[in-house]
Amino acid sequence: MKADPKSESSSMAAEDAQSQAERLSAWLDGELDEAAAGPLVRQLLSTEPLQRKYRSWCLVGDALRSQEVAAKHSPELCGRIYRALQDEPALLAPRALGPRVRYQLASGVAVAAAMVVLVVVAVPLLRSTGAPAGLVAEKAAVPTAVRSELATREAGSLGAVAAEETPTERIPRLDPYLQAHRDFTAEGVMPAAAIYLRSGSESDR
Amino acid sequence: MSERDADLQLVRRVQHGDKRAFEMLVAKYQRRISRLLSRMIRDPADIEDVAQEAFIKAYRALPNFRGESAFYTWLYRIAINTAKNHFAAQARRAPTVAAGDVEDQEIGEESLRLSDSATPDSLYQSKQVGLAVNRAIEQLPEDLRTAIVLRELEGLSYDEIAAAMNCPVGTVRSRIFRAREAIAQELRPLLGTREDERW
Repeated sequence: MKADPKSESSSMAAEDAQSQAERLSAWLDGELDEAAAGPLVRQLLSTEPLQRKYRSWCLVGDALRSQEVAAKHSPELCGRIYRALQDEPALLAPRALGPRVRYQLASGVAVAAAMVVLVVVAVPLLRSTGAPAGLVAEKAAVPTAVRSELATREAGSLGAVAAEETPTERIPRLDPYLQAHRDFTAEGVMPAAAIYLRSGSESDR
Repeated sequence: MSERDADLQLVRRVQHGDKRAFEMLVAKYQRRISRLLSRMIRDPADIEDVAQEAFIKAYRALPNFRGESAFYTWLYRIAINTAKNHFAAQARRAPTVAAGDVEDQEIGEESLRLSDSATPDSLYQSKQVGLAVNRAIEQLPEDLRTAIVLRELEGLSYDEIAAAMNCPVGTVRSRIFRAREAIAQELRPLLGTREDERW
């Protein structure tokens, strides 16, 4: 004897509805996993019978926990609120950033700011005080014997080193110029900053 | 996932333009908000007005809700502030319970005590609800009754209930579902809710 396909499909549908309602009950208790919850919420919002179950179970929960709360049930109030909602525009808000995302964003901005400070302040400072790259490479290529000789000479007194330096020919007519620009020589504490200090003081005038 | 996450899922749907999701939140919290407001406002008509205003304010403010607190905690604050604004606008005498006093209390059973503002009607209604709930609970088979009580009154998780009742979690899920259906059936005539009604 063959089973009636009509009654078979209707019993399957009833079974599905029962299983769906059971999952809704579990979701209401926060006992449904995330993967199953998403589709169920979509079904809830588009299926009137499921919504009725949801509403009545919320009422059952209130009634079990507090009779006074359940006694405040007002279908009229719900109807009023639903009608008032119809006049409200649908929200299309951008998703609010979670705290973790905000922290990550803030730390990213902080790192970027630090890099900018490094580029704007520190790099010109290092460039003006440090030896040229070519010279450094040249020094590294010097043989060990010569390097030790250089080290011995560097260890000598300042006066001796000064005496060994080739004297620069002094041109008297350049004296006022050099005097006026002495802030830009590498001997200053912050030679690269001098230009900014000067600009700042000049703008105050 | 927790109960709070379930609310948050509805909130996210509202934030993406689904008003029906907000109706689900109204259905869930309307009674608790009305109960809260009834402790501050005497006139039942005013309670409904303020409750409606609070829900609409919450709806408008929902884009700013980030889920850092539970939805109900957030809604509760809005309801308290709406009630305060109501007092200021009406310039009435102090409410039965000062707004600040209610605000300072923990949200829970303590804050749901019956206040002096309860009318004879509401007292009668709550008594009837109590009787109906007790009747429904008594009619339930023992296993369903234990499962629903452990869940709704004791707040146990399904795992904890399964351990207490020495049965699989799936059985707990099924028992709670069936208990809910049975109690809802019992409460329907009393609270004027029909199965085919949208409330």
